[in-house]
Amino acid sequence: MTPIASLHNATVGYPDAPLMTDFSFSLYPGEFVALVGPNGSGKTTIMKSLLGVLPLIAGSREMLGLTNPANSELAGQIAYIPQKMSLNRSVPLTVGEFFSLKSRGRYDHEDLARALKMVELTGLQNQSIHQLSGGQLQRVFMGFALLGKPKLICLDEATEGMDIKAQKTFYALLKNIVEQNRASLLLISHDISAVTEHANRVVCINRTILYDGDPSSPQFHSCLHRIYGEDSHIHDHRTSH
Amino acid sequence: MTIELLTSPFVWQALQAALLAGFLCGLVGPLFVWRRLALFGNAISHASLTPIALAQIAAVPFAVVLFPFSLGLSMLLTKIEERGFPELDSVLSIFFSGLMALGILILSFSEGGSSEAVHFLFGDILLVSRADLMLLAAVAVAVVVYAVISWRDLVLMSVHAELAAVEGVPVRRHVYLLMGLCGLAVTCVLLLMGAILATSLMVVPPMIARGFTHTLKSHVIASVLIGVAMSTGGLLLAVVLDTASGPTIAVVGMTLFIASSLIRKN
Repeated sequence: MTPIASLHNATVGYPDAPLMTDFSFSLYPGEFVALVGPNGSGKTTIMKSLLGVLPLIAGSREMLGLTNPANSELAGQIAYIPQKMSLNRSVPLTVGEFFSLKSRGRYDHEDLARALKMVELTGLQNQSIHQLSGGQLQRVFMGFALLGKPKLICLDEATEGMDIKAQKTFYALLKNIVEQNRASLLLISHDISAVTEHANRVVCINRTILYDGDPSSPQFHSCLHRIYGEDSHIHDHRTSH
Repeated sequence: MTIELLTSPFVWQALQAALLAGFLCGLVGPLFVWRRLALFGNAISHASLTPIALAQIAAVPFAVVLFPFSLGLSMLLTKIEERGFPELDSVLSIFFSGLMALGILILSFSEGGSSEAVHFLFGDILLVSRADLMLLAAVAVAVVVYAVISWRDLVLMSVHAELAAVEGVPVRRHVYLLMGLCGLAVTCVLLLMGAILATSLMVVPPMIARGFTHTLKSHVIASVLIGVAMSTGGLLLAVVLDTASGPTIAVVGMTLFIASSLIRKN
């Protein structure tokens, strides 16, 4: 199968402080991949490099069949859902105005209403995005991503600070999107139990790939023990409530 | 006497300059506040004393030295910010005070140096020339054209730079263009209001507007209206009270900001 996104023999990080060298990684259509690892392990750097936000120091990036494309060539086909805390609160913005920024205003009111319905936020277009709850805000980001019918969605600790109920809604919506659009998901999370429950592939890194495979495998658990210590254990959401 | 003054050609010309400056600052101001560029504006305006002093010594029009200098300094400061310098505010302060001090030193070698320094620091919109007015209009047109064409990109990169980059917004190009235009806008305003007061017209209108608006559109419209009201109202008050125009405009701005904060609190 042809990967939807890849890094080949990449050196990632900053030119005066490269984080990983000769790094290769591929993501295939329909996959829900979780990147896990301790702070400073390189998860965000890999995601930013894959998204073209951080230029590669060496190696190549393939995205939707294009080698080292500019993001303007991919607009709408890749999407990014950042942490809610990273939003600049100085900019007054309603949900509708935020959506109108997508692809330089290419989408009309019907597209906006459809995207809001998909993320279960119908009627909130005139609401200030700064007055939304954490869960609602992440769904706004998701709706923004969905306006472009993305083939790849990258989420950087997107469920950080959400309560269990909001997380469940969020993950259920994500799974629907993957199934409906055959999109691939790349998720960074520290919530190992959620990762184990929802992802179908997990990549455990600590400046190199330590494990790449099934999240229910014992090898993944031993990898976690190696990086977080022998005392760590996984709390399973599926059995706890 | 006051009526005569208010209808005199030089006040009329100053009013046109105030109107343009208020409009320009009201429009650019929200981007200034969203992107936290107030200190950047202060650095550009205060550092301008060096090129103004050089122009004075060389007996050439200020604009000839001032605009290339401000553009160059804007690009340099943007480059420093791009390199992720952790103590950026301290670096800005070094340029801010160092270049201002250098300007004062250079002026001390010219005849009437200290009085000229005071004039450049505090400005006088009533002394605005036809050429200054045309320059201000040209920069205002350039800023409006750029803002209209790139508005969505500029807002998205202010909301979240990385999200904008993923969406295909040429963030780096916009940052340099925006900083260059902001540098030019600050420079135009400092010719009217003086180096010390220039940023007040940039920052006060969007800050007042932010307290009463929660949509992008209303914030920008309110900022433009407040900018025009602050600059023209301050100027008229200065004429009526026979006070220095730049400081009067800045004090009017601060008073409006305090009053609006109190109204919002109640």
